[in-house]
Amino acid sequence: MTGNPGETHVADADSWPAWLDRELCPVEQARVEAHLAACPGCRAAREEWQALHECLAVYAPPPEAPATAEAFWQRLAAQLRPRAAQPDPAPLLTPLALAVGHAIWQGLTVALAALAMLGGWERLAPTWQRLAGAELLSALLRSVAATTWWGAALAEAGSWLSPAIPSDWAGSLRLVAAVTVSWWGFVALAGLYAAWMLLWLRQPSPVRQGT
Amino acid sequence: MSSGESDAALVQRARQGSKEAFGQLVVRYRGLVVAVAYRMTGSAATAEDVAQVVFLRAWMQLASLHDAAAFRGWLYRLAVSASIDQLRRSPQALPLAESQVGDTVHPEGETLARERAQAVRHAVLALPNHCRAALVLREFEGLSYKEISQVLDIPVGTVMSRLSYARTLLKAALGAHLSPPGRRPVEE
Repeated sequence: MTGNPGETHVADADSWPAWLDRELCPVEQARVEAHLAACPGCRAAREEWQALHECLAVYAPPPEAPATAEAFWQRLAAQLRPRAAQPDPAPLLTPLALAVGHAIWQGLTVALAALAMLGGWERLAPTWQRLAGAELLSALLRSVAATTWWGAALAEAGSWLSPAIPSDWAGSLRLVAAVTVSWWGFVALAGLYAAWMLLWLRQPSPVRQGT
Repeated sequence: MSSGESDAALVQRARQGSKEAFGQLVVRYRGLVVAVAYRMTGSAATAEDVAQVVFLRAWMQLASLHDAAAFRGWLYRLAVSASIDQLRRSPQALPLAESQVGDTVHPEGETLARERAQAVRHAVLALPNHCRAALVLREFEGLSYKEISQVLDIPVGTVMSRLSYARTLLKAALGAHLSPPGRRPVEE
């Protein structure tokens, strides 16, 4: 094979079959063609592969009469068992829906972390504050926020900026209870999410089923 | 029986139990299934049996096809799978004798063409099943690498390596036949 010393011949490259099958990107395809124009060795290799492609064309099923398909169906129809109408498969959770759900979850955690950091929740929801206590809400928000990396980072920053450690026993107990409840709540949510994902992944893809 | 109705619409109706809709799909795609099965097994009779199995399976499993528009790709999958099953059950299904030149005397050119066709058939049937499947889908059905990867449920890189291996084997096996009969070397 002739060519410049050190130059990689396309006929030796791993991408050669992809070029033959027109599966390369246009830029790569053009690069290979430019090389072929200048390299007689690679052109000869291409001719050989092209000859193989043409040679394979002789391997074809014997011709059939046009009515064969109808006759085939008549024979097959006699073997098909009638069945009740089947409902269409339930719509699957698409990757797009998963991505949107994930983005909403991430955004929610960041928002909650920001609220916890700035103490905005207590200001925005005085009723809740009276019912459950500022520490409880703050701990809940931090726990939820901590389910993502940036949420955790913001919550941590918040804890440094405005420490909300309760000074009394009741407040401490509420904090511990809140952390425990929210932790298990998060575990349950994560479990549901994982089960949802598994269910989706176990669904056969359109062309992957029925073997 | 044939109509211009889309695959998706026919699949939807067939799912509801319509044999008539399924029949349209059968008539539409029988040729495709038989061609794949023939090239996988090398026998017209076996290909016919495989096609029957494929459409029976399709009828039974139609409810599990979530994307009705993907019916064609699904059939490819069923056809390859059923062909390989058939070859595993009865390896003698590869009918090497079916293409042998008979006692009839043919003109030289025709004889050479028949020899060439026979050599190609033997070489393709001698490939490993998984390589032959990739080759059939690419060379004869014209599927893209991505489509083949979906049909065979393998990565695109594996499609490329299988095709490359299959073609290398074919090139070695068919070296003397790679030029048309009229241009073949004298020593043959």
